[in-house]
Amino acid sequence: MENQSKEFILQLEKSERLRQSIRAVSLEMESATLLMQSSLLLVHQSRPVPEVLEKAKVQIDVLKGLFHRLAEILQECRGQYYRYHGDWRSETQMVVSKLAFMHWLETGNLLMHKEAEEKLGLDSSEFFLDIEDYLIGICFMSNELPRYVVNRVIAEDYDFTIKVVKFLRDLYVAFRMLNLRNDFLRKKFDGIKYDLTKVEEVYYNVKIRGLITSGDSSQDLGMQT
Amino acid sequence: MMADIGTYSSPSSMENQSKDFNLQLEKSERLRQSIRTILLEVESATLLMQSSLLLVHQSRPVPEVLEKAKVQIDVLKGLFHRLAEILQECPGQYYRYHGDWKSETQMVVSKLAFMHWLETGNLLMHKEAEEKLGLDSSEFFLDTEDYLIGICFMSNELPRYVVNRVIAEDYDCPMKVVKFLRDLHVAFRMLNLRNDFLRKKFDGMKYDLTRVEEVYYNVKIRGLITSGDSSGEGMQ
Repeated sequence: MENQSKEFILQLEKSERLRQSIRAVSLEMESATLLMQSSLLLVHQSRPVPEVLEKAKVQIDVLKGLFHRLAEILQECRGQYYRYHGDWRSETQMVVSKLAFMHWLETGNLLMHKEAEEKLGLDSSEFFLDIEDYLIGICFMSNELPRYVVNRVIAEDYDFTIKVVKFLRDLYVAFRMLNLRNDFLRKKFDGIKYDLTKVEEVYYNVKIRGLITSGDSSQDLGMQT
Repeated sequence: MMADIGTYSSPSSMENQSKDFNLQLEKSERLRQSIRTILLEVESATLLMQSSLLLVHQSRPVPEVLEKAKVQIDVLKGLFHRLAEILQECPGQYYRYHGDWKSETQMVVSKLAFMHWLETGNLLMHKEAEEKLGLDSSEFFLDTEDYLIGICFMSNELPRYVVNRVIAEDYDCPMKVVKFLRDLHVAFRMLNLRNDFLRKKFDGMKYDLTRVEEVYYNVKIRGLITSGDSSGEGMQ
């Protein structure tokens, strides 16, 4: 019995060492993400977007390096991505949400799953970006938009609201196509609907006060289907 | 100011991504359904095994009880084989779905270990458990913690068993059980268990040992131990 225990000890200790290493990397990820977050907060105060993005982007390389370290750690135990996945799951979701927000600020587009993987250097078959982590990250990004829209309106950028409404509507439609089983993800998805409603209300408020000047407003977004 | 919205990627690219995701999500869901179906059968087989085994508490002869219970082992072997086949569709994802069969597996291990102990007086080893269930590939294996938790569940059975053996006037049984549980407890204590579910189950084993020692104590002080072994046993 004791020989068996000795073998088990080796396995359990190896497992514990792995978790410690992973945890260390996760903590660094949290730091990098917080730095990225604090840079990004300045867009709410009308700091010019390119300037804000430049600062925040520094952290992307940091994160790329950290994910690479995670991938290396996991190489010691093939096929066990999901055994330890919980240890980096929420950090990853947060990273995705920040990256997606930055991508959207820069291009107006949704950061795709594959693009997110590329930005983070996650494209091996062993260490990848879990789809649900990606989707949850996108939901978190959506949660940022109502506040951002309000602050853009405060800064008198009224045409901006149309863009956000259009983007969130498309995002919502694309998400609604998903056959979601994960309850947490379903709840986060319902959150997108709520974000969309809030953004539509801002748009409504701006429109009825005749503040929309751009010609786009005429080919109006129309009624919500 | 945001980039020119003229470069806005069409909604269809978002939708295409969703379509891709759906394929993956649906595949994952089908897998989970298949796994769940098998697990229901695992539960049934385990319950049948359990109801056979209950008869040892009523002094039914052990070989007879074991023979009935063993029928289910082959059933379980087949079911785990089906699980392994399902998982072959998605290599490297054992732990993604592991939570779905974790508790059933622990229960199976506990029953097998109890049967093995009834038959041999020995601890069913991890490798032996894997062999009995046909789990010996590198892709689909018996998770170490599932095995250990299963052994803890088996230990939980022993106090009641010992009491019923004493009721049936088998006074030599308590000593055997005490010795077994003491060795098991020592072997487990060597493991550096973190403070989690397995650790709590291990703490429960100490409690089982204490209860069994109390039965042994009661039997001994009433002078009921007849076998010669009782002199060499000593204090914990």
